[in-house]
Order: sequence, then C-alpha cells, then structure tokens
Amino acid sequence: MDTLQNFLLAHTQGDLLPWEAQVQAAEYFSLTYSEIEEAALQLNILPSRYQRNRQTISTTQQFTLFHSTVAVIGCGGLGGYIIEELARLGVGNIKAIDPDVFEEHNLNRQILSTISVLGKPKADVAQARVNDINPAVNVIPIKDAFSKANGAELLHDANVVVDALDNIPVRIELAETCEMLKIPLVHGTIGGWYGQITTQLPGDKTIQKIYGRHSKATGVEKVLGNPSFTPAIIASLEVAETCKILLNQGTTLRKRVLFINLLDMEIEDIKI
Amino acid sequence: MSVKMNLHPFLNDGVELQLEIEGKTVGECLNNVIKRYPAMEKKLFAKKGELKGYVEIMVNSKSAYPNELIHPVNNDDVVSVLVFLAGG
Repeated sequence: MDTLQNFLLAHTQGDLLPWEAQVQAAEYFSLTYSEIEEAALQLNILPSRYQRNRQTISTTQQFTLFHSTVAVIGCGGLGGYIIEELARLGVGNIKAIDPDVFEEHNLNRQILSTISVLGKPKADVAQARVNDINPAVNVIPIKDAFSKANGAELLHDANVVVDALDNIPVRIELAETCEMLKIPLVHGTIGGWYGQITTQLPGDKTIQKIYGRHSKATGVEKVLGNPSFTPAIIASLEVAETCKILLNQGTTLRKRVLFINLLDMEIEDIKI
Repeated sequence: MSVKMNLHPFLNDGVELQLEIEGKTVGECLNNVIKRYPAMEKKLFAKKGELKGYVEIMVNSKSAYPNELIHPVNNDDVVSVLVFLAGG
C-alpha cells in the first residue's frame, strides 16, 4: 500500500469506509483522523458513520460540511445539543464558545452535563464529547465570553454562527457582529414551554427587529425556567437551519420567526 | 375606544386570549384586562407599576417601547402583549 488513496480504496466496503480502516490508515500513514476523513471524501468514499445521512446528504455535500466552520455561542441547554448534532452531521470545524463551567442546576436539560463533569469548563467538555463521537471533527474550545470586543476575532472564519446564548443584550451584540462580518446567524431561544427560532442573513437585521431597543429586557425563562425538552427541540431546528445554509438547500426561516408553544402544541410562523 | 388584544398564553396560565377591550391607552387597556383577570397583574407588572422586563407590547405589529403604558390606541387597533424569550 504505497499511497493513502490506494489504502482507502482497498479497505472500502462498497462505497463505505469503516471506522476501523480509518484508524489503521491514520496509524499507518501518521495522519490525523481529520486528514483521513478528508482524503476519503475527496475520493467519493463515504465514512461508514454517514451511511444513514446519504439518502439526505450526498457524499459531495458531506465534503462541503466537512470543510465548514460553525461557531456555537453558548455550550449549555441549546449549545450542547447543537454541538452534538453538528458533529454527528459531519460539520468539520466547530467553535464551542462558553466561559462557564457545569453546575448542578444544568443537569435537568444540558446534554453535555453529567455528574462527572460538574465544575469543568463547558467548552472543554464539548470538545471531549465530540472527540468521543468523531475525532475527525475539529472542536475549538473557547473559554471566553462572546462580546462585541472579541466578536470579530472569534467569528471571522465561521460560515455560520449559531446563537445558543442566554440573555438579550449579548444576543443583540452577536447579531450586530454577524451583520458587520456578513455571516449568517441562526437564532434560537427558549423559556419554559416556549421557544422561537429565526435565521438572519446579512442585511436582514432580524434580531434587532425582534428585540428592538430592549437592551435591558429579560426573558420569561427567569420565571418559567427551562425543562429538558424545549432546548432539544429548538436546538434541532437550529441545526437544520445551519445545515440548509451550509448546503444552500431548502427554505430557511429568513425573515420569518417560528414561535413554538409546546404546552398547546402550536406553531406560529410570523413574517418579520 | 375598543381594541383587539392578543395575550401570550404564559400570561393566562397557558391559555392564549383574544379579547375586545376598552381604553384610550395601552395602560388603560391593560388595567381593564386585569379587572377581568386579576391573576395577570403579577405577571404583567413589577412592584413599581412598571411592566415586567420580559413584556413586549406591540400595537398594530409595531413595538410600543419605551413608553408603552401611555401609548395611545384607536378603535380596532390590535394590541399584542407578548413575552420575550432569552434562555439558552
């Protein structure tokens, strides 16, 4: 086996490359798992882990996802699910941004929180979790709080930014930074039984329209809290939006806000 | 003046309300709502008589912020009382 390409072709079953062969290739050629996954996709060989993707996402599109960078702002209730789903989808580069550590009150809903990681930085835990799922996915843990001051530095290389924040003032700063950098922003937020999601493309100023000048407003989650199921649903919708933006497919929630009322199972689609 | 008022389900224990309500300002309309549904007062107002930080008032789909309570309303205006979500 003189070349990586020959090795991969020789170990492909059908058009699928088993994980075991990826491990062998990485060891034999002293390459990273990321380099092996890239080489396979370039040869139109699909790593076996993605075989249930491919009726929806072609191998070419899988390659596009692999070369994408998504910044997730917040690694808590929404962010944990978002990072998990992006990694399983096959997004190659994920910036996990959160200054906090896991606390006991996170355990009711934050998928990355377990007893064993209490006190550990959320961004580091996100990286470890993804490494367990697929070490070919590059997670960059950033243990700083997002702000307008560091926003450009943190987000300049992102194809899409996903909002998993927990307050309005920083959301407004995030939206303004994405407008300035001309990066699509997928917004999601939750409170009790309720959630909302939208997609802001450069020039839309959607978040400004939602929150207006209410830079000191609070959210109703301060009263209602957040149960386990609401972040899972809104996070999944955010990942679906992100996937469509990266692949330029389907119809996004641009200039629309989806309001979800899980108490009555009602969904409102409002133009904005 | 009679306006159409939509209230977020959180404000009425999970039941979305659509009401016809009297009032010349948003504040008068809300006071009349509270007369009918007293339990809403705690959800709408802070102790100082100011709206809670999570309440958003839209009049005919436009935000009434910042002086919501003295915002005038006319016959057949649509006043929506919404709540902000900010959790993540």
